[in-house]
Amino acid sequence: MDTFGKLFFDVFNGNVLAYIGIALAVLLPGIGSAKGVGMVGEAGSGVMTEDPSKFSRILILQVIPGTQGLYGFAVGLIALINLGVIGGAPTALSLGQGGYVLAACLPIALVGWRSAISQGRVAAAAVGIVAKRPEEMFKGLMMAVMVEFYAILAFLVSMLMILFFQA
Amino acid sequence: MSIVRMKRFELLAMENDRQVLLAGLQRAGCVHVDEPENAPDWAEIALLAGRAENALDETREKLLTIGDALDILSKHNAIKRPFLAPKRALRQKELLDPTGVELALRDAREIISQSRRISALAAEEGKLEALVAGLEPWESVDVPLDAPQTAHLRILFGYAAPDVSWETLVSRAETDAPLAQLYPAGANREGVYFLALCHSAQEEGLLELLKEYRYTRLQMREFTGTAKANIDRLSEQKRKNAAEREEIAELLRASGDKQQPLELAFDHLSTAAGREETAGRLMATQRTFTLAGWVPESAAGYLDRALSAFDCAVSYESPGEEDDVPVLLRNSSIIEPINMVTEMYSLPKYTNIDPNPIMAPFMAAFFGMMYADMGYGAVLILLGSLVLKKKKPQGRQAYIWKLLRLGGIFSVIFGFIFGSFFGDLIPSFAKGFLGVENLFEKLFGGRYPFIDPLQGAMTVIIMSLVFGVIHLLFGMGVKAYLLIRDGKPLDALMDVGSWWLTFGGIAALALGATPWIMVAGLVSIVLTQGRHNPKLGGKLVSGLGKLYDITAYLSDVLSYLRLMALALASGVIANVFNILATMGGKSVGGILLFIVIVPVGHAFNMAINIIGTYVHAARLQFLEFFGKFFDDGGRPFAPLSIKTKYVDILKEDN
Repeated sequence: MDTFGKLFFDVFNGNVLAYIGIALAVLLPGIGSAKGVGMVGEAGSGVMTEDPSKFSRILILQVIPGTQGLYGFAVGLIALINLGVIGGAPTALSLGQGGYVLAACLPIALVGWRSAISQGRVAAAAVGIVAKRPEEMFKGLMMAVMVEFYAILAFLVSMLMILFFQA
Repeated sequence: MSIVRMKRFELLAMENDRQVLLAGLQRAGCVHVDEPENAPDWAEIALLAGRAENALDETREKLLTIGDALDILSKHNAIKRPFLAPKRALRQKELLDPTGVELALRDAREIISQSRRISALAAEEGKLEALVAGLEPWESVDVPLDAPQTAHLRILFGYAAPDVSWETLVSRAETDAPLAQLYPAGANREGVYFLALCHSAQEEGLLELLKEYRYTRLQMREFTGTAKANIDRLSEQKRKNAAEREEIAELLRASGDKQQPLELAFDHLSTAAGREETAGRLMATQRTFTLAGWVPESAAGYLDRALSAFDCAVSYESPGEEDDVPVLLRNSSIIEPINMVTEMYSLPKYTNIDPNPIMAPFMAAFFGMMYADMGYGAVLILLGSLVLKKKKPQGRQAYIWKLLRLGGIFSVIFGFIFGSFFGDLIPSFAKGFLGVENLFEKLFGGRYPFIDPLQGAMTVIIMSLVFGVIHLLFGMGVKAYLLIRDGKPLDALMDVGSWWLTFGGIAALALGATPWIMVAGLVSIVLTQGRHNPKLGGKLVSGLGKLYDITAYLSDVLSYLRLMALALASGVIANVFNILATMGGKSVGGILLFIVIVPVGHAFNMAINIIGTYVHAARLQFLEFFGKFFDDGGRPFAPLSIKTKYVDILKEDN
């Protein structure tokens, strides 16, 4: 094999593919959640300048878009454990195996990322409910939780693929 | 266990009795008063009711006053409402006793005026501060600020732009206006301050020159004496202000003893306001008034006895078809909290059915299956019981805690089936600290957990779908029951029976029996579901179209996959926290890590998941279940009653 080919496969092997997947699973939902939580926080702070006693209700709304980040982190962590990276003895993966891990990470990476932002929007709008009709806050919460469902589905598939991965 | 049967209630009574009679009705709390219909002339009625309106306005204003005072006290931390403390329980008589109200109002006004004084003082302090800041550059100048000018001497206070150097200014003045003398004062962000003494002949020349340095002249005539003296005086005044403000704030902080009388007065007045609001809705003449509304059938006898003391005419009528009867749901205390779920969606129409008892087992089971954890369930049971016992919440607050307790019980049941106690805390602990791998496998040899939700994910999926099918069939059964109850058994057979036959046929086919049952079901759907169409062809076409509803049923059933999804997701996250907690291994640091992460992680997971679990359990009722039979849009039964915010009324015999 020529030098370029050797270099290429040194850099582009199964393990690297898997690590890219893991990085994406932690990165994208984390970015999305940070953005979602941030949006709700901004809207919520505006309301609290008027009425600080609404803090607890707004806090509940604010943490809702934060779960996607946790899901991504959980997938990444389990993948690191399963691949032996945590423990110091990483399994050598074939290109196919690495591709499998990368694919396993994609559902939570992409769905987690976008859904956290959408959910943040809904929750930020629900802050308006807390401001004007606090007794109806739960309905706004419900709308926000509906978005979460798709992140849960993606998380489950990612997690099951990682858990049942045999190197 | 049902929608409470109502009677239409009409009353004609003497105007003189109005106050006492309404107060009595309010105490009884069983009459929903309607707006008068077909009112002949609203303007006239408003005029007649004018007295009540005035009283209402006055009461509302008093309510606002006391509410404001309570807000102020709470802002100054004078009010204590410990998390678990119950509301004060009072007898009706104590609440309705007006003696304390005047005193409370006087206290409230005092508190409000104290709070206004604080704001005024704070505003004044702001002004003083600004004045002092304006004088500060002049502190070193010992010329009185109001030093008189003479015929030839001009005294100019002012400043040049901040980037101007003092030396340039002085040298320019020396050459261009030799009869002027500049004395430096302080400098700040605004500019370079100085005092200029100048012969009147050169005043204009000096000002012209200073203009180049963006000079601003200041008026100091409002002060007397030197800047230093003024600063001292103003600072002293500001200090006094602050002291007075602190003193008043201290007074407010110490007014905690006024909290209870104020709260009692608030509830007394809001009770009065409720009564007066109803009074305003009555049609009245000079001597009589009428009241129309609804009363639960069971309370009619009691109402009759209570009204016999008055000169009045009462009539009861059963509701007709077209009446919009207010809806009250009455259930046993186990099922009662489910009402929260129903109310969030909508109350059923009076002619529909109380969904609470039929929904309760599903709601609780779905909640349990999604939350599925013995540890989490136990925490919910303990928390719910503790709050219910200590805080003694009423109404909706009580429903929340009762519902959590109920959901907790079912979570323990499903957690037991899935073998989860704070996720896999026990095997994780055994693995991380005792070095025992696969604890359950070693202990029970694969017989426990009964279902491992991860290894046996397929089983959980099937379980979810079976639950879904049962739920849907049950919902359709309720519809069939309603149709039969309303005397339409044929409709029940055609609308529900044909589908049941089809589903039964599909199940039979799946189990290997003849396909003809399913075909019979499908044919019966085509033949019956278009029957409302006037033409024969139309009947068949729309019947065929109804076959398409099979996809709707399919998506309904698939929707129950969320049971499995949430159950697994919360379990997996719990396991991840356990992995993190046992990562440190057998060491002091590892144990510390465990002690910190286990409670924090699981508390977080519980809190996040309880919202999702409740919402999805409720959603399955609203969309999949209610869609089959529920007729929404019922108007809540809202009787004239005593509604309190701060105190609870003891139940007693009237």
